[in-house]
Amino acid sequence: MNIDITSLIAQTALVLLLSPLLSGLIASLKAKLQNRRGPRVWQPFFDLIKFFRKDMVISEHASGVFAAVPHVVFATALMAGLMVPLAWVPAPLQLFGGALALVGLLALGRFFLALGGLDPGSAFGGMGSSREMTISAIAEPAMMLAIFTAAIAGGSTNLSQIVMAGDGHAGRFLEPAHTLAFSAMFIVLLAETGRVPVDNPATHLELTMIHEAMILEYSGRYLAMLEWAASMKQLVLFGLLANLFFPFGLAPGMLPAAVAQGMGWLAIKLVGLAVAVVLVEFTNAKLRLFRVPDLLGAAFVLATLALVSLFLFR
Amino acid sequence: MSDRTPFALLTNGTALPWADVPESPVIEFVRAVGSELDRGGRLSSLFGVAEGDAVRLVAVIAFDADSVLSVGRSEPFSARYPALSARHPQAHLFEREVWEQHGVVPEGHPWLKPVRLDHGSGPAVMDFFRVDGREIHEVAVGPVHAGIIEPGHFRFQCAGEEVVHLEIALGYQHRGIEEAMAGGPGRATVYQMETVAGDSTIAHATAYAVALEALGGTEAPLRAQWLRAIALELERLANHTGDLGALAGDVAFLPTSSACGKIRGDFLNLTAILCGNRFGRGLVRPGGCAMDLEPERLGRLRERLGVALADVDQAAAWLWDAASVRARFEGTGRLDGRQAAEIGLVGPPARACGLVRDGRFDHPIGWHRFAQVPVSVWPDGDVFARARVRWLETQRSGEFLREQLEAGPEGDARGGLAAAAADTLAVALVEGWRGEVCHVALTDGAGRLRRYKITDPSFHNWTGLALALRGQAISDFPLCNKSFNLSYCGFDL
Repeated sequence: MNIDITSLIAQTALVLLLSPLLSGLIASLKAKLQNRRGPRVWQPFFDLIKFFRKDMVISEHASGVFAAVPHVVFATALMAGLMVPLAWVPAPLQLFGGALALVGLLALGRFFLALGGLDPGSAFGGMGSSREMTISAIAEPAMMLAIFTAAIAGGSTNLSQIVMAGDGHAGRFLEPAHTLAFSAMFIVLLAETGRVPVDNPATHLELTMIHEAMILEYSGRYLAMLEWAASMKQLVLFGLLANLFFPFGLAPGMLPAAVAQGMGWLAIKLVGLAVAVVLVEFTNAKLRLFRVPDLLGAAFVLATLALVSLFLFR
Repeated sequence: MSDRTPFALLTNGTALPWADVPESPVIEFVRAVGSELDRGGRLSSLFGVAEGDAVRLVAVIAFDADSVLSVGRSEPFSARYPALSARHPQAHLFEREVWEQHGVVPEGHPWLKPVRLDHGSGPAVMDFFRVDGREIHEVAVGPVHAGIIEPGHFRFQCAGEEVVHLEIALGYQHRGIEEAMAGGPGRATVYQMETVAGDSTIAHATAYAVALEALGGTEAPLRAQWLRAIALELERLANHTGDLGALAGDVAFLPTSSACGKIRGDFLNLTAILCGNRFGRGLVRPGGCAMDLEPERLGRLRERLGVALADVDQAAAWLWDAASVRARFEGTGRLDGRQAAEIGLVGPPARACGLVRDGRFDHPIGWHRFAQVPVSVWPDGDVFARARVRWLETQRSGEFLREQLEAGPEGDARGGLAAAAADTLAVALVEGWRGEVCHVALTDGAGRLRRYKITDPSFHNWTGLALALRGQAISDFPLCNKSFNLSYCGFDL
């Protein structure tokens, strides 16, 4: 494992700074569609700064796990962000297993987040954790299958190599395996980032929450870390979707001109995906909780079909 | 309706000398009320009147199909009486209230606990019904909620995500409105009536005004009755529109949610054109209306009403066209018609269970005697039905207003109010947007108020919400709650 220091520092900064911007972009687009002026795109930065400066109120029933959770969740999200090629290839971090390690990291973060929801012993946190686990148990296999489809096409589970292998084959998006896997992955993206129709990130109704219920007891610095981690996870999944399925425009190394171009392409892809997500959010009501598994089941079936068709239409 | 009734009959908005209200020993009285309810009556109000150390029960029973009310009272008694709730669940909250206020025990009441007060102070958060079992967990929500809503405590007994039982504890906003009325009406009374439930200002103020007018043996001028009817329907439009938006918001359906929030404001502004206040404060006064609607403002009102109605048409069309919304609304929080009738549900939730029950049609007073609004009914009893009934009522109120604003009666809106007759009972029912608002006034020998009983529709309907939640997912509670949209302060008084 050889690590390129420039690439590492650059991508760390990119993940940390771009992720709140993406959240802000989505919130802003959503507001525009509702004829509201909405928050500025960089509002999430101000929110993070605000949370970092606030005191924390911690339940007296909370144990040490409660304090460990924000750090673990933040670290896993950031590491996942370093594994996904965003604006250039290869990505700075290439753990064994590639895609598998990425899914594992996200699962580890989620596991701790669920623990954090359970730890203070509030009814809402417990409900949030149990819902999150139910949903992820179905979303994860679908995500794995969708990534495997791309991995088989690319001949490796290393994310950077999948992307590099796909570069220059833009027409491949029209292949059935590719389209099916993309659809599956898009549904998983909605579930994993807690967006309508699976979860409603804007709700204030504790009884309906999933992700927000788990972090309900957090405040101040810990809340900032969890919010930031959630944005990073969102960026990871957006980036994964953007580059696995539209593998073009990435800079082949750390040359400034190429990187600038890569960033441009990344921005275009992210905005495109954000618009798609916001349109889904705007035109759909949230699903009844018991119907969410049906949706994710559909994602799993799509991903399976993608894998099968990869061999059928080879 | 047979003439076998042991009670006195009267129509809505009229008075009756206290001595003419038939009196019977409490055991017979309870039996008689039971048989009235068996004959298809609906308990509009049941309350105690203190007689020294003893107490009398007074029942107001509505016969909707016959447009008539029957009133009876018991002889003074103390200590205990056989509970009516044992056979007629619709009396259960009334009997708890009487127990709380007068200390008489309804024997055989299935769940006797305070309604608003806990041992004389603070809200009624105590002794919740508990379900046993390893799988059962208890979820407590409120009284502080995340949204901008009123305080109330909800205690759920859940098996996983499924609600086995919900108990609702209120009383956080108990202000002692009924107590403050004794010896009145005073100078502050009309303002208190306007804020029994702030979103039903017109409904409560009208009921109060009608009760006082009935006691004085007068009627408001036609022009005032017309204005009240217009204000009442505007209130309905604003609140139903807000509710449709809130329902859409609860399922995260943004187009309707954001549009309705704005259109609700437009309707409130129409009320402001009428009387200078968005919630209708200062319009309805006993004897008439405090202000008139001159042609210039009438024209403006008509014009802007048309725009707002067209806007809400569009916003509702988005809602009904979205399959995802339909899937979310249908089958959620279902109550069947039999249950609804048993617990005495009123207003849109009752009509959404297929019960044809609308005070504007069944017990018309004021301008609604001359111009009627069809009753909007939907059969299913779920969230979809409650939303649908609101939408039908929005359309029909719109039609009503369009028609009525064309030509109102001439004359002065202000009228005089005669002194209230001594020892007289008056009943006024007004169908507010939330359902039947019932005011009962009883005067003493000097013509001052001796007892004033207010029954907000929420008083009947909170039980309906608790029942609708049984067997539902706990994550559907906010949606069900919004589909009833009951008043906390109207209940707490």
